[in-house]
Amino acid sequence: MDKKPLKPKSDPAAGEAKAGETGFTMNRRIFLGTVGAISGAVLVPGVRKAFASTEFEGYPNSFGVLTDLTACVGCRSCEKACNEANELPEPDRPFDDGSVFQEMRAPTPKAYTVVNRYENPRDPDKPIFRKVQCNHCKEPACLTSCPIHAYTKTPEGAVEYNPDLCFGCRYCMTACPFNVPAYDYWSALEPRIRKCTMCLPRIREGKATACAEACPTGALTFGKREELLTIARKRIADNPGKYVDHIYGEKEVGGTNWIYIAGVPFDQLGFPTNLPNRPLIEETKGFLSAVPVVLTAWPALFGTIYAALRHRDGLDEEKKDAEKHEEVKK
Amino acid sequence: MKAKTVSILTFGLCVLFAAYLSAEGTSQPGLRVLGSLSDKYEAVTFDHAKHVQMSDGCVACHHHGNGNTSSCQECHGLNPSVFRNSVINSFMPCSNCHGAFDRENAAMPGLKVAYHVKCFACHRGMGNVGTDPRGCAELCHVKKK
Repeated sequence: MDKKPLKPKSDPAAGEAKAGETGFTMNRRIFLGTVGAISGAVLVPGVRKAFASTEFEGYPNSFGVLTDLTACVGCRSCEKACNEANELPEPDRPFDDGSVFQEMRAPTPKAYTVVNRYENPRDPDKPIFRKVQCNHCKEPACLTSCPIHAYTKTPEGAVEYNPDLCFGCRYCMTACPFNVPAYDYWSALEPRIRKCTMCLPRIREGKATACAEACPTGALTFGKREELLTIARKRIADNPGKYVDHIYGEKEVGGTNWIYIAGVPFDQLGFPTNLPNRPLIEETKGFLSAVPVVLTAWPALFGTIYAALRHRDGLDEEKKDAEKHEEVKK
Repeated sequence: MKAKTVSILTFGLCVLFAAYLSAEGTSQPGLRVLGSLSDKYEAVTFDHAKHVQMSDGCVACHHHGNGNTSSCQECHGLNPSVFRNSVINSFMPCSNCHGAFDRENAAMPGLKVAYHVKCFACHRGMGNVGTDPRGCAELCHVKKK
């Protein structure tokens, strides 16, 4: 009994020892609660570590496309082929109309890919054309932001979207660092996200993407991502001065299956160059993985402490009451 | 009289032989019809002789000692018994290597890409060629009706 005051008041063990004097039921409940809370608290760092150490290297042998921006001549054959392959509606302006280059375009539900024109600081007579479409990230932000798993990263390399699961929250549109997913705003009954599919059905048939097949200049090369990286490195090494020594998409946001090489710095061609070299989910993974743990462990831990304190207060009250009774009796 | 006839005949034969040799020596394609995109456009008529005159030699368009081929035989169907003849006349078509694009061999450009890369090396920037979608129909491709 002399040792008791040394123990901290919040220590559940103190309550346990005291409870032992009065009743077994409360003792066991507190014991189990305490064990649960402590194991929950112990789990917190372990869980976070497990999530953070999972590094997805991407599917081996997945396909991709290498865009060589020095080769594109802005013929828009890729746009036309994409339109036909995906059975998209007729464009407002025909595909041989160059007036579309007067403004910067982004992919729309009617056009999964668009070509934009940029000034060429090296040769003003030969503008630089850049094809824009989904980059099919290795660890896509659209996928990780989707609350209902409407997106899948397929082993072929494509980021596939399932309209049957989508309920239209459009988180993916804000999560995408490349501003790609487009939404069927005009469709009242069945609105869905529209974006480049990397011609997944064609890939599964053993073909290349429609855009790469249509490209006449070799600006688009379809193949295994690893082989494309080798080709890109070789082109940069074999043509000194022609390319900027960077493969866009090799590392950006953890790597994308669509990669680029260019003759001028990428920030001059509208590419976001402030992206981290790791998947965007890494920015929020630690926090997000802690949420369920906090929501379960913290109530258990603090609830137990609260219950223990309340219980001891109750015992003290009872003791006081008993003493009072005894005094009254005396 | 007889000697004169013989010498005329000999001279005639020499002329014919020289003509044969010179014809053999310049036996390059004249007009070529390139129809591999004829599902989309009318076939392209390519004036090879004109391009020979304007270019800086065969290597401007063909692999020739530029390090992209490993042996003569890759492009010339060489035959030791008729060496000279086979060097001049037995070119393999570009499509032997640059055939249909193979996704398992992405480094090898398909025929369409191989052609266009060479054409654009000089023609890009002539009118709208290679700077505007209309350019495709300006110099080479006639739209199919």
